[in-house]
Amino acid sequence: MGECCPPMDLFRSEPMQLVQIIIPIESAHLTVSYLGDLGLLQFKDLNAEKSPFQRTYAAQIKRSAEMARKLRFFKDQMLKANLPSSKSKRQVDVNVDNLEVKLGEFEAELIEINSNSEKLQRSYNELIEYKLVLEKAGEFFHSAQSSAALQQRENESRHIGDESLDTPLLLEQEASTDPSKQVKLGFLTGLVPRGKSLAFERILFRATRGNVFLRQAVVENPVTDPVSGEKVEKNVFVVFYSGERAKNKILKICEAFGANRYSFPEDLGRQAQMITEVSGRISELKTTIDIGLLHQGSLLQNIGEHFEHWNLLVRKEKSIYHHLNMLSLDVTKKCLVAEGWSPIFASKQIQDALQRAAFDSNSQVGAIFQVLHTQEAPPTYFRTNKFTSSFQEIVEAYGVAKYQEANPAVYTIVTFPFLFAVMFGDWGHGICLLLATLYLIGRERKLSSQKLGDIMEMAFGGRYVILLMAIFSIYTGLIYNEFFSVPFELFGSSAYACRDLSCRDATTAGLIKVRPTYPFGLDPVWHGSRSELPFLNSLKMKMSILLGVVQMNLGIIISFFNARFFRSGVNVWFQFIPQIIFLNSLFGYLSVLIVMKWWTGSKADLYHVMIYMFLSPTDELGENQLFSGQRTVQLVLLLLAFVSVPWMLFPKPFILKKQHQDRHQGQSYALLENTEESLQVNSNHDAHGHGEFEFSEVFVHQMIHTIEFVLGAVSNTASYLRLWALSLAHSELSSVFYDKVLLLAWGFNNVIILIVGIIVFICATVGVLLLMETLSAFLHALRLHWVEFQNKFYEGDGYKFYPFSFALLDDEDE
Amino acid sequence: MKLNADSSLSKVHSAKQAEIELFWLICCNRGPSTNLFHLTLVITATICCWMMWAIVYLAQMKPLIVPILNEGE
Repeated sequence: MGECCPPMDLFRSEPMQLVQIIIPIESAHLTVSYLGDLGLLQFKDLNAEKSPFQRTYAAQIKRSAEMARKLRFFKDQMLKANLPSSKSKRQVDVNVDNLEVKLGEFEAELIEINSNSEKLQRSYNELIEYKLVLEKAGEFFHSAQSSAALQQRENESRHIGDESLDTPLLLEQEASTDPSKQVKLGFLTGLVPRGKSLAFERILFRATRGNVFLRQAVVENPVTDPVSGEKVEKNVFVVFYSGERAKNKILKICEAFGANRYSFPEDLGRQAQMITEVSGRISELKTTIDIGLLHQGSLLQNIGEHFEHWNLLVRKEKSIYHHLNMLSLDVTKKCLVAEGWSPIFASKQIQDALQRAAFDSNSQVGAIFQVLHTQEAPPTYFRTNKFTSSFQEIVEAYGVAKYQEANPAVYTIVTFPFLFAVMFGDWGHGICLLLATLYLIGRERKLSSQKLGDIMEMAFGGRYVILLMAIFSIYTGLIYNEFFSVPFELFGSSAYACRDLSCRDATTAGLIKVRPTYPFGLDPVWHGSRSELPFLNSLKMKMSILLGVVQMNLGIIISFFNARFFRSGVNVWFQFIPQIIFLNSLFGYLSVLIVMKWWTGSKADLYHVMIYMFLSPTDELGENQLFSGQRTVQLVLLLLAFVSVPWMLFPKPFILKKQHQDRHQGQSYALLENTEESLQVNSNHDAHGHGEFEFSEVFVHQMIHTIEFVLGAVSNTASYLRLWALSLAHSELSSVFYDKVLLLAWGFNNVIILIVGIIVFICATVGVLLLMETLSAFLHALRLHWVEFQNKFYEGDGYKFYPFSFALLDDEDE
Repeated sequence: MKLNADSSLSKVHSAKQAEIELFWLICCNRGPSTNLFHLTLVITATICCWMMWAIVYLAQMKPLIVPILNEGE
């Protein structure tokens, strides 16, 4: 802006400078740490050609990475143990070296505890399984034995009782051979996962060709598998087999199925003895494990108290070394040279930080701070607050502003919610939106500290955008006179009334205007009338064009401020002026016609006027004439529009060429001023000088730009008609929901239907109108700003200022 | 009657004063560049809202079509 008034906040990005800091090596760490606290310097990587391993502080980075790994390990452990990492009140200042030792000790201890407890847990689980096998298989053996004994007794009694001729002769033989065969039968016991038990049985049967006897018993509760440590539902099995080969097969199958085998004593007495023994060992192990867990818990608790603090410390440490690696080492190896961008206003603070660092590290010499001159484009830095940052983000989603270019966010703060509201005009819906966003803003402090879902995060981030959107929606809703599509006579009574007392013509010829125009917004009488749509369409269409022309003019005017700021007379004379003439001679004129037509109440057909302004500009306008001398004015405007196209196209490339030639000639004969500095600069940076001037390229670029503007003037104006379309869709949808759901349900005179109707109405209003329509109106407003508004002046090819700051560290990693 | 007019006048007066105070609060209590920024916001918002009102008012001033009531009503 310059001379007349002070520079506006946010209109231009902060003026930046490239600074060089020479830091004595002994105070380098502290200096960088202080600069990180300050967070106003973006370091340049002076060792870009070196790989990470070749850099000076590679070892330290490795160390901090190792510490970070340990911390992650602790975090995992704490998560497993369900311990939250609480922030402790007392923050003991720890040295990084001490911390490293401490972390190493803790890690070793934790690993040992873990491996011990893992071993213990495993044997504990094994014992549990063993116990289950003992019980279940014992039951089975017991029942089998008792039934066998019963049969034996039966046999014997039969043998003794009715020894007659009927008795088969072989029976005795059979019975006598039985015990000898029994000896050869072996058996295996164990547990198999229930899911696999059927397949297990089948495979066993097939592999041994049916020469096995398998018994399974279901274990009711899931068992912890000793190998995997997971809870699995299992069956206890007992397999009887005969012969060594069958045994081997069964063993292999068991292995393949993950069935754990346990030896089982045949002797009943020993079984009981084993069970008691196993139970004893189980309880013993249980206490040992509990003690171990307790120990681990207290250790983790201890770590958890300091975790956040340590984590921050380690991350700071890592980022400090990361940035130290960006500095180049002086030839003497006694100092480090840093280069970076900083806002000019921060010079004092940076120098203060340097002094403090030199003092605190007892360095003999302080750091040297100097400003370098460079041709490079500085980064773009806007000082935003929590209100403006979300609007800035809207703009930056399109492109980061070129250094010091005019920032559209200044106007976007108002025009974005306003254009949104033009499409979302309903003060009932606006109030709903307002309440929602007030909730978000009211709980700002609480919500900003916790993690939210994706969509919630977005809504929370844009809470101030939504606030303004809601306020403007209430305003435009009042203008449109819609409250959930119901009109109210808030600002006096309607201007219209029946022609006579009988009101016969009200439905044919219509009402008549008897009072002065409704003072604020739309007359409520229009709602629901037959001529509502023709009237609203005409009104909203014209309004869209008027708003669009104004906003596009604003964009072109901002391009003027840009041209003046960058002292480019070419852009003022051969871009700004023809552009504004072209736009206004066509669409500015159309806007004037629209206003005049309203003002005078003329019946002129504006389409006709605009079309024949091009087709036959010399013809008489006839009844479409709005003012005298209109034909001459139109001829002049048309001429201006035609002249402004070559005006935009041709002079600029030639002037640029001439400027370039002048500059080069001047350069070759100019005196070499302050040689030292320029040499230094040139040696340090590739001077971003002007390379070859490609005239054809510049010309083609200008041609594209001109064509884009000329065609864009038409298409962008047409594009603003989306304001009409969206606003129409919104009001129609809400009136459909109101008429076809709420009023219909009301008409039934039935409470249940009414309640259902209200529920459907609320769901439709919230789901369709408040969520989907908000989203679509938001997107269309976004487009109008990105394309129709910003393409008039915004280049958006800058890059953002990312200062080295500990405050920004949190967001980066997570 | 006079008292009534007086009180309404003072009401208008106090409303105006409040308006000015609000304007002052937003636009004139921080640094000059921030004030200019806030002023720009206020002016932009005012222009937008005024345009909206003016357009709708103008369009209804000399209507070419009049409301025709629906048969059902």
